This record gives sequence, structure tokens and C-alpha cells, in this order.
Amino acid sequence: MKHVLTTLALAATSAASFAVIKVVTTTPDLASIAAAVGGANVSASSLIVGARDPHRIEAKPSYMSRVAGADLFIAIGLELEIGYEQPILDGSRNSRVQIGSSGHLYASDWVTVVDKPTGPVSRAMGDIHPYGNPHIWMDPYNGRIVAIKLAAKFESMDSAHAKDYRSNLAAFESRLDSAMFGSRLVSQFGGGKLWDWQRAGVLRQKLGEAGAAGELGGWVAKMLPLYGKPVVTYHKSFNYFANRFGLKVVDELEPKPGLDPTPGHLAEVIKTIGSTGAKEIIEESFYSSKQAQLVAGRTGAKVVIVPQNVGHDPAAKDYVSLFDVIVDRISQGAR
Amino acid sequence: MPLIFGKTIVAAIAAASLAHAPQDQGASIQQGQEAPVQESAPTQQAKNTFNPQISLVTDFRWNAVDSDKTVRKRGFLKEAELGLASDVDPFLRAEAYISFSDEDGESKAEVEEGFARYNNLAPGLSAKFGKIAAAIGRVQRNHADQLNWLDYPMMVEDYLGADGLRSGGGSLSYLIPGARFNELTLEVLDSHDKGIFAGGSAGAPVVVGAYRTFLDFNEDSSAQVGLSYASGPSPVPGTRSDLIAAEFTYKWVPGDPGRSLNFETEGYWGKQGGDDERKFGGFAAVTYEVRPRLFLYAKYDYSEIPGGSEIHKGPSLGATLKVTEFHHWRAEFQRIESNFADPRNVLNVQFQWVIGAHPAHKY
Repeated sequence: MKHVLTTLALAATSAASFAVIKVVTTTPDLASIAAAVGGANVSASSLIVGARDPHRIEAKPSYMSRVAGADLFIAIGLELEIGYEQPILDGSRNSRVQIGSSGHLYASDWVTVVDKPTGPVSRAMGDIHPYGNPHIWMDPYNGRIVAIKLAAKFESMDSAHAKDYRSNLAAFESRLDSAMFGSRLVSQFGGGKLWDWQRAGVLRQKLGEAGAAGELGGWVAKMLPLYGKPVVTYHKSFNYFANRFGLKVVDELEPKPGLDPTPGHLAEVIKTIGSTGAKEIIEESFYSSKQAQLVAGRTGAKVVIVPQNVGHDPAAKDYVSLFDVIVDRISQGAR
Repeated sequence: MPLIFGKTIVAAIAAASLAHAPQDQGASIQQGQEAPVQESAPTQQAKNTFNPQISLVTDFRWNAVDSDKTVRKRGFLKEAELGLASDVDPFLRAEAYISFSDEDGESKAEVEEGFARYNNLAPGLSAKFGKIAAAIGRVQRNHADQLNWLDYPMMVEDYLGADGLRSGGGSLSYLIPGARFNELTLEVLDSHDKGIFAGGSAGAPVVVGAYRTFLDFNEDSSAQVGLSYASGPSPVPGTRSDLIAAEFTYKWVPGDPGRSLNFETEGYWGKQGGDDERKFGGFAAVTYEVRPRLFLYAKYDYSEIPGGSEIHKGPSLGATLKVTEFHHWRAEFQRIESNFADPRNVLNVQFQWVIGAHPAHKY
């Protein structure tokens, strides 16, 4: 972890020495995408570093100083940062990045949001997000959209380096697409088309028609055996990932968002696992694994600990390698 | 909830007789068959409305044990605080906190704070005007519901009044550019009616200057240090009082769930007009999260009361169960010793909840 952080810090420092645009993000995933697309012209760093639950961050005064010098502040939105965003922005006294200004962005504005409550919303439902599930970065397609939007934003702020941003974006997309589908398919069909097919649910059909079904690689190939399989998660943080890779989240250990697992609810989860045949309980390292282990011990399901953000795990060095780790652990856990 | 977790799981499993229906999410996905990824057009978040953020915090107390037999043991709603916050226009953000409190059986309503702030007067510069909490020290700038224990330390009441120094005036605050947080604050406030600045008739303002800095030692540990100075009219006509405050806060918050440590200490060196010597009041407190949501704390208070030779002091021990971010239970035992009264032992229980706007995660 220390090595990863030192590398990130050194990269940020060396980039900052000649960067044109200074970007501060809330989560490390947004910073990773911004750094990939911005390249040498952008210094990108995140407020949250390491294995931290992004819901529970405190508005440290040092965050205010960092945001004070930012040209662009990027948050996830959907009230993920509701406890600390406003105090940090207020304390920064930076007019460029206040909510509503051109230097303030919510990444969730660009993507399709899931789990939007449809009826009345109250705290009786737990620490609910009334505008939808904020864990948008857990779908690599959303990361791709964020990269495209950020490249356009950087271009508008620094047209002199437009060419650089476009080529950085192309490199990021190529790496992400290859990791998703395998590089051979990306060379043959192009990443855009593969995503279109995958999103429409016709990827394997189209590949079969083109005689390329055997070429499928990457995360999709690894996750294919789990398609439609039931899983249990600790928090509602894997719904985007599940939606993308066809997993079926049948329950969470939390009885309601933000509440610790209760014995009564765990008993229900055990019954759900029994009735659905779920084989994996997926949770992040910043949650206690005691309850998951207890449920696993009574059901035979495996507890799979995965990073939720870049930097949560030594191998999750950037946005693409984050999914390498998640996909490897979940796919191996199913064996 | 971890507290009731453990062996009770067995009983709970046995008791769970109702079948639990799996969630609908992903129900359309069939094993081994591809299906379209659930998507719809992105929409802009309709977050910003013209309604202010509204919150209500209530503090219910039960005075369970008190060795002072003149104090009536009872349960009472000590305070209900209504908070309102909103952008006024592109330049100004306003906040107001209205407190409804029970003081010795009598209800009292008071605007605790009510101000509007220009956040971007110039690079790094903000200003607020209205009734504000003076930038003296750290603890008294917090509202009572934000404390890690039941009440303000003794020295706050002795030097600044029961709820600290909150008065009408203006505050200029400058964030010094740089990687490290360094903040300078200058305030001019109307004279106060409590504490060492209770010199309303003097017609002179209280002037406050403060410096705060912040240190990030690593991902888990950080500290805040501050120094402040205030000068203003005193209760003794024709004299002025002044106060020096020093604050230090250290926090250790690792990524592991349910572990954190918070150490806070603060000292006041105050000289009330007419006094020959400067008096000292201070406290030190440590709060430790022993398991998720359960905090144990110990605090020690010491205060030389200005305007005389009286001293009171004593330890406090307490526990807080933060059931969720929105409500907690707290029990605190405090022993108060003094050179002017018999020792007093008090046990209070607090039940606090908040509705409305999400509470800010202040450092």
C-alpha cells in the first residue's frame, strides 16, 4: 500500500510541476481516470486515499487547502459525499469549484443511475440515497463514459493540448476495452461495437455470427460462468458491477443501507442463500468480515473480500487494475 | 447491530419463521443467458431546490443520579435545535440555528447562530456577518450536539458563558495558500452578557484573533492546533478582559472498521478586568471506539473561576452508542470537586436524534 501511495504521490508531484489543469476528486477512481486522460497536462489527486468507506469521510481542514488550489473538483454525487463535500467546498473559499460553477462536476450526472427509489423516501429505509445508488464507478462502462466526458472537459479548458487529451483517451479506452473483452476482439471489431453488443445483451450471439465466439477474453470471459448466478453483498455497492456482468444480487448483509447486520437479518440472509444457492458473499475490506464469515460457516458460501476503490489493494493501482482484482477474486471465488 | 450480535444469532435463526423473498434486482437475468444491461438515459440530478436544508436535533436528558439532593432528578428535553441552511444567491450562503431549551423548568427560545457568509470575497478570503460563534478555541465553536461528551467543559461556562461566546458581529477568515492548512481569523463582535466579556454597558466590542493549522501525519493520523486571543469589555466598568486559548486535537482513524481514537485538549488563560492575575481553565479528553459505533471516553476538567478564588474540577467517564449516524445514546458519570462546595457525583443519560438534512462530518 505504501509503495502504491508513494508512486501515486510522486507521479502527482512530478505531473504537478508542469501541469496546466489541477484536478481534485473525492474518490481515487475518479483521480485515476482523470490522470489517465489528462496525462502530463493534468495533475489529479483524490481526497480519499486507501481503504476508506467513501460514505464516512470527515471534512479534514487539509482537504480544504487542497481544494483551494483546484481548477476542477470532481465528485461522484448522488449524495455519496453529502457529509463532507459542502464543508470542504466552503472551507476552500475557491469560487471556481463551488457547486453550480464550471469547475465543479458530478460524475454521476453522465451515467445511468440504478436503484432510484420510486416511492416515498424516508430514513426509515436506512441511510438511503434518494437520487439513486452512488457506486457508479463499479461499472467499467461508466468509467469509460467518465473518461470521455473528462477528455472533453479538459479540451474545453486547455484547447492547446486537445490532441494530447484525445490520444490519452484513446489509449485509456483501448486498455479498458481490451481488459473487458480481450485485445484480439478489440482489434477485430473495435471497443465501441463490443460495448454496444454487450449492453444490448447480444455479444455472444454477434460473436458467434462472426465466427469469433472463441476469441472472447478479458473480464467478460472470466465472469461468463457466473452469468445469472446469485450472490450476496455486504452493502448495495456492487449493483452496478452485477448489472454489467450479469450477477444476481439476492440480498445484502446490511438489513438497510448504513445499518450493521443484525442477527435477525442474517438469519434471513442464511435462508435466502439456502433458497437461491448463492455461493459468494462479496464485501469490501473496510467492513467487518465477522458477520459474513458467520453466514458463510452456516451456508457453505465463500466470503470474497474485494477492493472497492483504487488503492484499497496493492494490486489495484489504477482504475483498470481495480477491476482486474475484483474480477479475479469473484471469478476464483466461484470455483 | 454488533452489540446484540453473537450467540443471539442462534435464537434469531430459529425465530425467523417467515420466508424471506429474494430481492427483485436482477430477477430478469437467467443463468447462462445474456440479457440487455439495464440502462436508461442519464438524467441531471435535481438536487438543488430553493428550499433550505432543514434539520432538527433534540437532546433528551435523564438525570439518573445526583448526590446534590437539591437537584430534582428528572427526564427533560434539554434542547431542540432547528437548523436552516441555504444559498442566498451566487455570492452568499446563510445558516441559522434556533435553540429551544429547558432551563430549570422554563422554556427558552434563542437564535444560537444566524449568519450569512461570503465564501469567495477574494482568493482565500471569506467573511460572515450576523450572530456567530467566536473563533475562540475549538470546543466552544461546536454546537452542544457535536460534542463527544454531554456538555461543554467547565471552563467554557466560567469564561464565556454556558453556551460559549455567541454574539453579533463580523468575521474575516483567510486561508493561507499552500499545501498545508493555515487559517487566520479576525472578528469583531458585540459585547457579551456572560463570562469575562460581560461588559455590555461598556459599549466596546470584543475583538478576536485566531490561527489554526492542520497536520496530516499519515492516512490514519492527523492533528489540529490552534491559538486564539480575545479582548473585550469586562463586567467591571472601565476595565477590559482578555483571554488566550490554545487547542490541540489528535485523531487516529484507521481504515479498519470500528476503531478510532480522538484526543482533545484545550486551555484558557483569562484575565477578567479588575482581577490581579490571569486564571486558567482547561480540559483533556480521550474518546476511543472500542467496537463499531460504541465509544468510551474519559475527560478531566479544571477551572479557576474568574473574579474570585473559586476552583472546580473533576473527572468524567462516559459511553456513547451511535446506533446510526442519526441517533445515539450516551451515559456519563461526572464527579465535581471544588473549594467552595461538597463533592458532587452525577450520572446523566442522553438520548439524541436528528431529522432532516444529513449531519456534516466535521473534523
